[in-house]
Amino acid sequence: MRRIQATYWLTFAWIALFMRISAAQTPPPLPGAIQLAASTMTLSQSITVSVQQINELSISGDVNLVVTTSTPGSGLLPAVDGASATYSLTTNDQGKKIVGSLDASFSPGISLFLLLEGPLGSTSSQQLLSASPIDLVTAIGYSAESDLTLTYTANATVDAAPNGAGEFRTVTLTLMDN
Amino acid sequence: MNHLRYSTLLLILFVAFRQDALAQEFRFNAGGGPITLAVQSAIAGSEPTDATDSSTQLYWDANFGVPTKITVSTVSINQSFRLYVRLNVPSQGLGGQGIVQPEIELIHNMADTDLFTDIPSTLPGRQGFGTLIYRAAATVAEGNSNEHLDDVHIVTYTFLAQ
Repeated sequence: MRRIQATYWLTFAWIALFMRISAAQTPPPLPGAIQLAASTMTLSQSITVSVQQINELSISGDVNLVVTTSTPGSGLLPAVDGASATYSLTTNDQGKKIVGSLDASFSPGISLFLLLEGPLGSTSSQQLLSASPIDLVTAIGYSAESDLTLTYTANATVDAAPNGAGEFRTVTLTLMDN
Repeated sequence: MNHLRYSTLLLILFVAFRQDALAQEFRFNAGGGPITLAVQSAIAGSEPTDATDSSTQLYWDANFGVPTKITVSTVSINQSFRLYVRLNVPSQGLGGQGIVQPEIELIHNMADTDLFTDIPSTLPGRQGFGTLIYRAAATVAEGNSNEHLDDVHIVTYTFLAQ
């Protein structure tokens, strides 16, 4: 009886060992062979991409305008500067505009006009600057443009008092909804 | 007595098949949960700045018996913006061997695309980990989420014999 049991267990051991070796010697799949479902593993992840409304505007360069000349018999010649200052803007939104204003008005007889080069597809016009914001560029769509020109024109009437070293003013441009 | 016999038999079978039971492994080693990439800034005059995320790490043990690879695909209905992924595998020494593929653009319903290939079938090279680097990008012409809603991707990584 003991001998039968020993043979019984030895047989099981050999069968198990044979199956183990057979499994280890499974050949690799042939090129192009269809992989069994069990031979692939997957992981999934949820990724959300959110793009915020981005509106950026910057100006570089200061401008110094000096009205110095006139034509005899007519008024003073305006001083024009279209090279000293530029602006850049980025917007991924539509229906925007740029308004401009002065921090304070000039002395009587002195005025300042501004013309902005608008980004592609927009509309711009020269405007007299004052303390109240005024539209300079309208109908701005998706834009990422840099070094757009600002052209300032200073006018003075003959009755404007000479102001020595000049009057310093700050021009503010604001990018906003139409 | 029968209990002893069956226990012995189970023990033999366990030892015999122990190595087969230690199959391949593929899991998130860090992160793995939902991620939001927000494109939200720009320098005036330039396109919006890309948003990136590197909080997710993959771990693998390519116990397939053959060289293995990791592929990627995505489903993102009504996709408006761009999303890229690449796998950065820091340990290209003994562990984590394989070939890193260039950054992949994830496009809705894309075919499975190789992300990391030629993972060896033997130790130590078959085991490794890498960091997923996601990059979201949007030009101004692609608008914003207020107009198009957010893009939601279900990105799937598949680990399979090569």
